[in-house]
Amino acid sequence: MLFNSEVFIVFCAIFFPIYFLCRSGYQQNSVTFVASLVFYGWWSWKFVFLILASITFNYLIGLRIRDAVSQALRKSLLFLAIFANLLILGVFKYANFFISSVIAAFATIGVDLPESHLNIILPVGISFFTFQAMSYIIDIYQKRIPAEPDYVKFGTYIALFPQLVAGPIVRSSFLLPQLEPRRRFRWANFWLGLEMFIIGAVLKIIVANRLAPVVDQFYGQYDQQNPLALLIATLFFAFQIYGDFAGYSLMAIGVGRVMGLSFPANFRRPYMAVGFSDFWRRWHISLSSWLRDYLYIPLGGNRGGTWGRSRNLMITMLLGGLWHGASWAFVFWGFLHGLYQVVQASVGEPFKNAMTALRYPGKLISRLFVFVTVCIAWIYFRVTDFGEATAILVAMGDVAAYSWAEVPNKVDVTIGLGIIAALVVVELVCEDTPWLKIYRETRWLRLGGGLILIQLLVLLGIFSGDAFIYFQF
Amino acid sequence: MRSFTSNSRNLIALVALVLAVIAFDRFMSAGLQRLLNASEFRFSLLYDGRAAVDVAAFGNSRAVHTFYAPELGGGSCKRVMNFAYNGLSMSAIEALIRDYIERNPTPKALMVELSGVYALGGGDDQLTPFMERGSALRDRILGEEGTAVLWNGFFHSFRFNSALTVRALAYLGRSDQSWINRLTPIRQPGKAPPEDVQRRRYEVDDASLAALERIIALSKENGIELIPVIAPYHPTVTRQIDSPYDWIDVVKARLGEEIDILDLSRALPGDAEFQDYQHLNIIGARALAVTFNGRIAQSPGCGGSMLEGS
Repeated sequence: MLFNSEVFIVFCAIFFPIYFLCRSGYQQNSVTFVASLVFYGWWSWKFVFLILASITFNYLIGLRIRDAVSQALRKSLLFLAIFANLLILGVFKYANFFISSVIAAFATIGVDLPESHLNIILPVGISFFTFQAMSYIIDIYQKRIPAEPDYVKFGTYIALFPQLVAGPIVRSSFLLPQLEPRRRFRWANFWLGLEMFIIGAVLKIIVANRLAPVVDQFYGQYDQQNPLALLIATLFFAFQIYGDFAGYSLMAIGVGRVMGLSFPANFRRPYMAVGFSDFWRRWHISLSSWLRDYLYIPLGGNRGGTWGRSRNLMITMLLGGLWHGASWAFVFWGFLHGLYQVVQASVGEPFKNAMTALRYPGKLISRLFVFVTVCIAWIYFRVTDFGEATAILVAMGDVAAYSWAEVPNKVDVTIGLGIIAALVVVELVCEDTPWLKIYRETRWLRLGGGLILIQLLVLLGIFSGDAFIYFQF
Repeated sequence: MRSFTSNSRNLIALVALVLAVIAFDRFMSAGLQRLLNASEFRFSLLYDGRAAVDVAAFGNSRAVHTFYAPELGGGSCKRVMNFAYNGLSMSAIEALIRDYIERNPTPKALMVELSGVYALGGGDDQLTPFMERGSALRDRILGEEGTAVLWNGFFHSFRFNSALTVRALAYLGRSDQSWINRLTPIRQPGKAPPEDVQRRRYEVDDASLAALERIIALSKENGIELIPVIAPYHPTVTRQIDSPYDWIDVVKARLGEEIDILDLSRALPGDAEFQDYQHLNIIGARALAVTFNGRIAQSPGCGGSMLEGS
C-alpha cells in the first residue's frame, strides 16, 4: 500500500476513527498492530508471517536477556539475536549476492562453478524493521532500556505502519514510551501532520515522480544520449531520490503526528551540506545515526588516530552501502562516501579555511563541491553496473559535445529543471534566511503555503508513479 | 466549553481550507482554460475553430515528426496543418478528427499515420486539457479513465495536469507547426542495444482497427479524401521490435484493396533522416515532403484525380 494511493485514503478513513475511539493505549496499540499488518500484507500476505516471526523472536530474546542471570548468557543471547536478525537479512536480501560473488571469485582463479540462483523475493522494508529490532536488543543488553513485556506494544513498535517499510528507523527508547498512554486527537497534531504529509507528497508526487521518467529514459539508453542529457539525468536522479525518500519520510512523520506520535526528522536539506560529514548529518539521519551508534562507535569511533578513524569510517560506510542493496555497486557507493569523509578529515581543513574566508560565496562553493561529488556517487548507486556507471561518468566529461538540441523530451526536461530550481531556491531561503522561522510562526502564511502546494499537486503531480525507491531496501 | 470552542474553530478552519482549495482550483482552471484557448498550439486551434485548412494530418509521435506542415501542400491545397501528438491511440485520433470536423470547415483531405493501431505508450490521457471542449474527446477520455473522472469532478484544474498544457502555454503567440526533431541524427546506429533491453512487439489492437474503420467511414460521409500513411522505420528497428512490419500486413488485410495506403515504412534506409529507430527528424521529414505533396496534388479535392495519378 502506498501513501500516494487511493487505497491508503480508504485505509485512513477506516483506521483513524477506530484509533481515536479506543479507550486506552493498549486498545490503540492493538488496532495499530492489526492495521500495520494489513498495511504490510497488502504487498504480500506471506511476508506478514515473516515480520510476525521477527517480532516474536526479538520480543522473547529481549525478555530472556532481561532475565538472564549471568553476563555470559546475556552476551550469548545478544549474539544469537544479532546472528538471527542478520541471517534473515542474509537469506532474503543477500543470498544471491553472496552466491554470485563466490562464483565470480572462483572464476578469477580459474575454477568454474555452475551458475546458481535462489528464487527469493525481497520482503519490502526488511532492512528497516530488522535494524529497528537489532537496536532494541542491543539497547536492552546495554541496559539503556528495559525489555518490553507487552507483546502488542512491542509488535506495534516494530510494525508501526507509517514507518514500517521505509523508515525513519525509530529507536525503541524514543517510541515505546509514546505507545504507553492513550493518544487523544489533537488539532495541533492534525494540522502539523497534514502540513508534513502535504509537503512530503509534493516531494514524492511532484519532484520524484516528475524526474523519474527522464532518468529512466536517459540512463536506460545512455549510449544513445548526448553527454548533456546524461548530466541532466544525473542531476535529476540526485533530486529524484531526495524527493522520493525525504518525501516518504515526511509523509510517515506526518501520519505518525496525526496519530499523536513523534518521529525524529530523517532529512534536513542534505544538498545544503558544506561538507561530507555534514551531508550525513542531514541525509537519512535515522540510518546514519544508527550506524554511528551501533557500528562506528563500537568499532572505536574517532579513537586510534587518523588511521583508526579512517578504518572505522570506511567499514561503516561500506556496510552502510551494502545495507542499501545486495550489489557491489552499492558497496562502491559506500566506499566513495567513506573516501570522501576520510579525505575531508585528512586534508579538508585548508579548503574549509579558504571557503570560510570567502564568507557566503565560500559556503556556496562548498555546497556545490559536496553536491557534485555526491552526484558522482549517485551514478553508481542508480546504474548499479560498474562499467555502465563509469561509461556515463566518462561521457559526461566530454563538455565540448554538450548540445541542448540533442537532448530529447525537452518538455519534461524543462519542467524538471523548473522544479529543481524552485526546490533549490526554497531550500536556500530556508537554510540561509530567517524566513522559515517567520513562516512557521505565521498561521496565514502556512495556510496559503498549503493551499499553493495542494494546487501544485493537482497541476503537476504524477500519481501513477512507481513505488518509493527505498522500499526495496 | 473551551474544547468545544477550540473544536468549532478548528472545524471552521478545516471547512474554510477545503472551500479555499476548491475556489483556488476553480480560479486556476478558468485561467488556464483561457490561456489554452488563446494559444496557437495545434489543439487550441482545433478546438477553438481556428483551424481552417485544406489538409489536416493526424497520428501519434511518428506523425508529429513525419508531416512537416510548413513544407507540405500540393495542387490547390496549400494550407496543411499537423494535428498529431505523441502517444495517441487510433481511438483518440478518431475523437480528434470528429471534433475537428464538428468545429472547423471541412478539409479536402485527411492524412492519417496508421501506427496508432498498435498501443505502445498509451498517451491518450494527455489530452485532458481539451476534454471539456469537444464531445468526442470527452467521451473517449471518460470512457477510459476510471478514477481520473472522480478526481476531475472534484478538482477542475486536474485536467490541466498534462504535458500538453505546458506545450500549449509555450505556444502562446507563436505557431507550433514547425515543431519537429531537429539536428539529431540517430546516435551510434550500428551499435546493438544492450542485452537486457526488453524486446517489444507491435500488437495490433482490435479496437484501434475498428476506430480506423470508423475514420474511413467518417471521411466518406463528409466527402474528405483519406490518405493513410505508414511512416518510415530505421532499419535497426528489427533489433528492438519483434517482426516490426507484420502489423502493416494485418492492417492491409483488414482494410482490403479498396484503401490505398501510402506505405513508406522502408522508404528511408539512411541514418541522417532519423532521430531514433521509429522517429524521423527534419531531414527525413523534408525528404518525404515531395512524396506527400505529390500525393496531395492527386487528391480530387486539390485539383487532381486519383485515376490520373495512379
